[in-house]
Amino acid sequence: MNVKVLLDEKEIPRQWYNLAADLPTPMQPPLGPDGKPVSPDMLAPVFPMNLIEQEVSAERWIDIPEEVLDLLYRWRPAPLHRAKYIEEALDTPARIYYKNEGVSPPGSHKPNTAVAQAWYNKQFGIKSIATETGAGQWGSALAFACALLGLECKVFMVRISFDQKPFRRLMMETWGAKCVPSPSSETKAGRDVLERDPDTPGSLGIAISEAVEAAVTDPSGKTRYALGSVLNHVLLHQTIIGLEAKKQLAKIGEKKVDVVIGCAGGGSNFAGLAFPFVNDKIHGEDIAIIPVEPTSCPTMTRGPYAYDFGDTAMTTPLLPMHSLGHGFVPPPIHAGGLRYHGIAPLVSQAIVEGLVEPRAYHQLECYAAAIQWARTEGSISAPETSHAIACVIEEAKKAKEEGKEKVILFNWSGHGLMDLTGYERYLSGQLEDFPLPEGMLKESLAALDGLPKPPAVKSGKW
Amino acid sequence: MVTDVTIEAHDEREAYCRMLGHLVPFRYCRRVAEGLPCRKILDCWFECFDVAAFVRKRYTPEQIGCFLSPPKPKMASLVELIERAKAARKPTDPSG
Repeated sequence: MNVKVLLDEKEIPRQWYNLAADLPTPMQPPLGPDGKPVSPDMLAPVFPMNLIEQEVSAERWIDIPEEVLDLLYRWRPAPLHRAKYIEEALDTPARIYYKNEGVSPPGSHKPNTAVAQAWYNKQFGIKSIATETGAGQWGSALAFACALLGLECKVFMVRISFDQKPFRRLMMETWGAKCVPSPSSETKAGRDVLERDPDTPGSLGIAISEAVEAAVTDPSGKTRYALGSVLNHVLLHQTIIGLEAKKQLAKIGEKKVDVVIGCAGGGSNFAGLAFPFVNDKIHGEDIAIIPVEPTSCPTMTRGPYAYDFGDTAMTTPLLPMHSLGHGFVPPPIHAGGLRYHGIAPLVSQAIVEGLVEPRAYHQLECYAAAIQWARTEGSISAPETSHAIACVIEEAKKAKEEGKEKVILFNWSGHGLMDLTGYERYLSGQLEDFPLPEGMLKESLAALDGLPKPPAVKSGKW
Repeated sequence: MVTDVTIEAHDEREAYCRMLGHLVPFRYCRRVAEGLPCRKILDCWFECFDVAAFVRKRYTPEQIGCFLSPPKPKMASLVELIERAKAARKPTDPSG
């Protein structure tokens, strides 16, 4: 049995897949802060027009420029692995496959969109790209991409992350980026924050404000902004992952995938693998497609909610606690109500449609899964990847109970070699596990009875 | 056992921040949103200690409603930031 399924460079997918073309209920146009649809020229200060066109496109297939493919050849096509070692450890009849996105130079799936965005910016005449980053996974991906194309790159790194993650910062600087702790004195947004709180550890919100301001206020007009997740064009670029996987599975004779799993934060990792399979599901295939995330507070995962997670345009505030007639804090929100705000609208709509079914796992279960993975398959996983592995193991065990030869595919989105402190805490027994009082759950559920649920815009087919 | 004698009682606990991508102390999480907690404070901390009780004790319903409110959709927040940045340009900027 081959453990790896490789594609030759000439077999690399030559088009990205756009789920927006196939969603049963068309996506609503994004709304601005005034509640009116956002027009392309409103985004022109931060994105080049060629990316804005992708953002709003309803075309199913979008050609990948040859020059972008040439950039991707440094690590793509990425291998598909058969996880036979953990299959043996689990004694499961399931066949587990994973896309190894850790082979990129920055070590994750993020460069799939970073190189595309950098290229489109350069085509448009842009000389410099600004962005924000926390721990540095996105910042290092963009720094890498800009280095390949001779673009300047400025990364506003959240102060607390700048101090705690020097190696990621050094990666960015090795690739030629200028990494600035945020808030900084380089922007009005940063200066305003520093004036109020000189010792602030910063936040992603502040860093984003600075990066956007750096793009908008550049007097040369040659700076734009890039981001690593959420928006449609970012997810589009990531679909090369799932499209390669389909070719690789076909190459070894796997006719059908039963379960597709990816971790979902902003959504690009999950979407990259899953969207080509969501298309199959829309057209009748029976596939369980599972975005996975860290556990959300269970008091917030049940019952009706004050607003629908599919309606990403809603900004209705939460029902005030007192209007629930209840002393419990906070007002419970449905799984989708709070958790999925902030996730990509395309992923959100796929959840509303029932095309994908989110799951969440406790931190201890995730670390246990990652350790089992490391001791069988060998690689040490990023914390986010460990959530997907926990789901994979659960599905593999289920297959064993059912006696079914399920085909499970997931995205191994990146290594955890820069995140070993978490493993240290787990291995030394320091990770806390506070049991949620059962009474609190019952109280919060009772408070939800009878609350109205806003209608979700969906086809109702799944 | 840590008791909530002061608002700083849990400040030295650490958990993984899914927004930033690394471990952070609780003191960061309870102040990051202009002095109010991060909207994910319950999601990230409920496995570690009774954070719901902490929130109930330390913040008013209005504050809780504020920091637990969902973020603006990405596009809306981007457009807002663009408008704010345009306003931050110097008045003499010829490209303004």
